[in-house]
Amino acid sequence: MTTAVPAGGGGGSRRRSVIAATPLAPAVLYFLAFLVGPLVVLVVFSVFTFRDLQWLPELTFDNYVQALTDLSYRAIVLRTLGVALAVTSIVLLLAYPFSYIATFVFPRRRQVVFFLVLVTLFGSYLVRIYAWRTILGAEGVINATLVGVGLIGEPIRGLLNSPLAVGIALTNFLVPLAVLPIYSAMQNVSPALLEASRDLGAGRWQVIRGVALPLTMPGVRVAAAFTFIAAASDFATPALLGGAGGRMAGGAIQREFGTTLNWPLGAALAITLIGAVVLVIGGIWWVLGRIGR
Amino acid sequence: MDRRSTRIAALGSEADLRRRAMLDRRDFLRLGAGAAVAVAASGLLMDRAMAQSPSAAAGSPATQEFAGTTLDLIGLAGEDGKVELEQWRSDRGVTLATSPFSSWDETFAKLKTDTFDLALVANPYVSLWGKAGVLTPLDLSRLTNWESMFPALKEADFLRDEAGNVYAVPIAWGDGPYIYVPERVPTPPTSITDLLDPAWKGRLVTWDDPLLIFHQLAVAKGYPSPNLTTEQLADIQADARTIVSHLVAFNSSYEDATDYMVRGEADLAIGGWEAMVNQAAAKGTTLDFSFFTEAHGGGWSDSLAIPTNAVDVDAAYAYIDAMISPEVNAQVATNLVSGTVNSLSVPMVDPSALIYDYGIVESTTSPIKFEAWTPPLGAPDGMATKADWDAAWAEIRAG
Repeated sequence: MTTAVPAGGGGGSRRRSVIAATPLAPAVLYFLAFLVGPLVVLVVFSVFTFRDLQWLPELTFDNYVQALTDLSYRAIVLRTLGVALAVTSIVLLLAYPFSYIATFVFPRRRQVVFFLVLVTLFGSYLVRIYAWRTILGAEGVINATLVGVGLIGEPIRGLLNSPLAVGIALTNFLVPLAVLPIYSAMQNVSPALLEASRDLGAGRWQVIRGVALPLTMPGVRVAAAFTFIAAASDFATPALLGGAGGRMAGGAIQREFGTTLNWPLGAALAITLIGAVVLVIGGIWWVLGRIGR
Repeated sequence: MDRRSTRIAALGSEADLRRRAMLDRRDFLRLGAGAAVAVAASGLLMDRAMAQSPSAAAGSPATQEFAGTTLDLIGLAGEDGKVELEQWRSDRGVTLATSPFSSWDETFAKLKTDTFDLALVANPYVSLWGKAGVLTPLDLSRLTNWESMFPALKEADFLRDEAGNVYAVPIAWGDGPYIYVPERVPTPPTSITDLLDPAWKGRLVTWDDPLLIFHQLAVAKGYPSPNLTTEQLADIQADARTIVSHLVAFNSSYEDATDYMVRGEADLAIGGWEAMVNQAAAKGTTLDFSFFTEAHGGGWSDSLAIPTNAVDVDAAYAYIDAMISPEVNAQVATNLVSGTVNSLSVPMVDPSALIYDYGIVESTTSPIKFEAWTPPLGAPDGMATKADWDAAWAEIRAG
């Protein structure tokens, strides 16, 4: 039996939708003003011309040509993506087991464990970078211990001011960030499902690979995106821990804005990096999707 | 009913408890409005607190010529006259609001986007920023202490554009030493080209800026820095790449460079400052300074300028004039361990800060020239521009 739709029912429905969406207006305005707006400004700057320390509204794509074809910038972007990919892989390999253990192995302690992870995010980012300088430096905790117990005669100088230091610090900073979405996803996995799979003869690895991982894949994808974006865009960690070699994209962009004052090129580099990051994240999601099947 | 049950009954049902514990919408809006007002008020209070207020006991009413004026200055802590001109500000009713910056280069961007009454500018940048239109040509007749300034500073090219307009007034100067750890560097190098030796690998720190390295290498090779051909720039770039490969890291400040040497992670800082010796001594490490042959073409001088969008121009001129007055500039030189710019100030500088050869600034033909090392913005074909220098450095930094 069909139900007759009253006349004007479509308009009423639309009005109700508008009224229902009105509370979203502040958030939408905030999003437009502080995310979309600056991005638009960045895009506009990226097609400006830079001449004699002036930013001239003479539209050109030369900045993008330089960002994409200049060998030094290409090397910087590829290095950045490589480091970010490596850090993301290590972070996921650490964050997932941690979240799994916190959720299913110590269910009664999981909120405490989760809180301990959160607490690490409360500290100043810069303070944590300097803490790693203290740990990894020539007279830092690691070298002092190794020299003190007689394992080495001279401090190991390559711990700090190296890509290794950048990788260690970024991993340390980003594991808590990755734990958050993975842990949240695991809350929606009923332990009964895992138990049922074990009852049906699945081994521990099969339970994780075949049941837990597919069900938590949305959280893993979000964690991968968070981690990759943060690692690719960081410039403070490489600047303070990475030494003189191998600049990353964040530092190159910062230099264009703050030192050479070539804002149009800096904006083009930033947009290029955004595009590259989006492409790589798409690839990561595809791979994770295949793994999670 | 026992006492406990009576108390529980008085509290009401569980639903009542839960309702009272939760904020209702009206309470939430009230709290939110109150919080917003509190945050805004605290922000305003903090803003005012950060400004240097005139002391409660204001000076003579007759000298409150700039009463109510706030001078917004972008500069380095210690070179803003915060300490040295405290009484001067109190006497005139001036408040100083200093905005610090982490590098000279970021100042330009801030000068283009924000409003300041005074800006501290290093010698490589004065004429460049003047030509870029962010600094005002100065009326030197408004500076009563200008004439007693040392000749090498007063007549310096770095303050001027081709038309002779002066864009800034020096308030301090120094020479261009490198700082090293004598315990680990028994034989200090004499030329920057000595640092090309592989023995220096992993022992150097310097600034993330091509000007100093390129300029000194150019002088070492006899090239007319900063007006280089593209071939000369390429030649310098190759040597600069070697020096950069010998770096431990790029320092972000003089203190940062000192800390690298104090921690034993570096043995020599290119582009140092004598005050680093004192900083390290306070941390129990002995440092010393020396000069590359080429650095005697590279003294430093920090100057105060008036940005083109300055609001309180009259107060800005008065502030600059006060900073270069004999008594005040002697105090500036003492506090900064720098050279004083006023020839009448020297007897008043504390002996501990009299570490510079004042013969450098007493003549316009002195060996240290406070040059503008920045390459030209535009140049004929075959000549290297600032963009070429930046691109060459970006290639080195890309690894």
